[in-house]
Amino acid sequence: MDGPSPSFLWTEPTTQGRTSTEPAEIEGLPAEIGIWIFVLGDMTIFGAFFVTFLVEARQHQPAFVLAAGELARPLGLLNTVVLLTSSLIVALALAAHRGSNVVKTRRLLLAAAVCGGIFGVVKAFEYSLEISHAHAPGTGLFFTFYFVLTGVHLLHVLIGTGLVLAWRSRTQRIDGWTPNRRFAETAAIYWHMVDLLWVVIFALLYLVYLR
Amino acid sequence: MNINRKVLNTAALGGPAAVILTLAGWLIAGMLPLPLGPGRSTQTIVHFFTGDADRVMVGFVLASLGVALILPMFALISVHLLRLEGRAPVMSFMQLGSGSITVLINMFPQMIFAIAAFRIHRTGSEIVMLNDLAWLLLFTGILPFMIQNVSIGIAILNSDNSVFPRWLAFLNFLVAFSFIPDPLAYFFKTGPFAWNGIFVFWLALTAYCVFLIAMSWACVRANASLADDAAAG
Repeated sequence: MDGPSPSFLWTEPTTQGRTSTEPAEIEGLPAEIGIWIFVLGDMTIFGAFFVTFLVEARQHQPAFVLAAGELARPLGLLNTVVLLTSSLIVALALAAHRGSNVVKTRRLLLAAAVCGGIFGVVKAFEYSLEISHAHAPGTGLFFTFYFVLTGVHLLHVLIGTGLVLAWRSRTQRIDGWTPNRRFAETAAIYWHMVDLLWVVIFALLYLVYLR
Repeated sequence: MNINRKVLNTAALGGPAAVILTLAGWLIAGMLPLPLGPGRSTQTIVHFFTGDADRVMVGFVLASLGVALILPMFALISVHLLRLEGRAPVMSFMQLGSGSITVLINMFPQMIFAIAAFRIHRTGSEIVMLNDLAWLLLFTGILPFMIQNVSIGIAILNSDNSVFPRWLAFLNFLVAFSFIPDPLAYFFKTGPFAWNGIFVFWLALTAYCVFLIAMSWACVRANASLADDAAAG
């Protein structure tokens, strides 16, 4: 590749400048196998949600088209931008942490957590908007899926924000990258999964049945 | 090894034994392969319990007995968590306490199903109420289950790999997550979120069976390492 890579595309450092006691990094999977089992399992459960949604939508297409038109698309789009940005920030934080730039890591992780908070506030506002328009979880199957899918996803966002903040507090308590690596990579993988799931949820709920 | 090892390995089989006996009981009772949903007519539900009441009672009594076989395995899990936690073993106690409650939550509904079939001259609404009571008790009280999974997961993540593998912690978190949709069963009479829907009955049943079988496998492995410790000590 020509030119410098963006900093989130982290390249393996050479062994120069590393003390001999430090183990070699990045062998096999990032983080550990367990988080990947979790990610695949969780995404399979969400996959089942999505397939069920599509099957039900086929059977009740006019109602789904009508209901999908009622969603606050600008708010959904705003949250998509917020989460995509947060994913970039988390990737940059991981690169900063690997480079042992603690100040930058902490600043970026705070920004990522703020994104998680913004997502939650926008979602809460969106829920109150829908409920004030008499679109409750019991108002037809589309809104059931809307509240269940986004609600379970919001729970994921809150847990992810907690993980990001825990990662941030670790940077103060535990020096260096190697002892923090497993936790940091696990939190980052989880965060990217939450982002990825939202992209699919946004497309399915807000866009697919739009006329 | 001595008798103690045999006792430990037998305790580890409690989970799979409970799975087999409960599923067999449900098959006999007719709850499997496809359970009746909350949207079915009173007549259908009455027929389910009174059409062949003895068979239904045999099935659910078997299930109610089978479920309790999990208890020895839960005790064994706490024994191994105690090895991980040292002198402040709060996760071990949380696991055992919440796990014991889950056995009650799993056991009483089977008995209520059997009670529904106990008298064939009950009114339809009485049988429907017992059926509702059993189903909603069985699936919606998710927090003891989730606390148990999370306690096991946290204890494992805060330890080295010597007793349980770390991925088992993440599997426990995943099982806990899979119970999240269950309280929706209160709000739906049909569809994927009703008590017989894929996000309540099938997801929870699959996750719980995976949990019991994985923990059984991990306990047998941990028993072996306990024997090694004893030999070394």
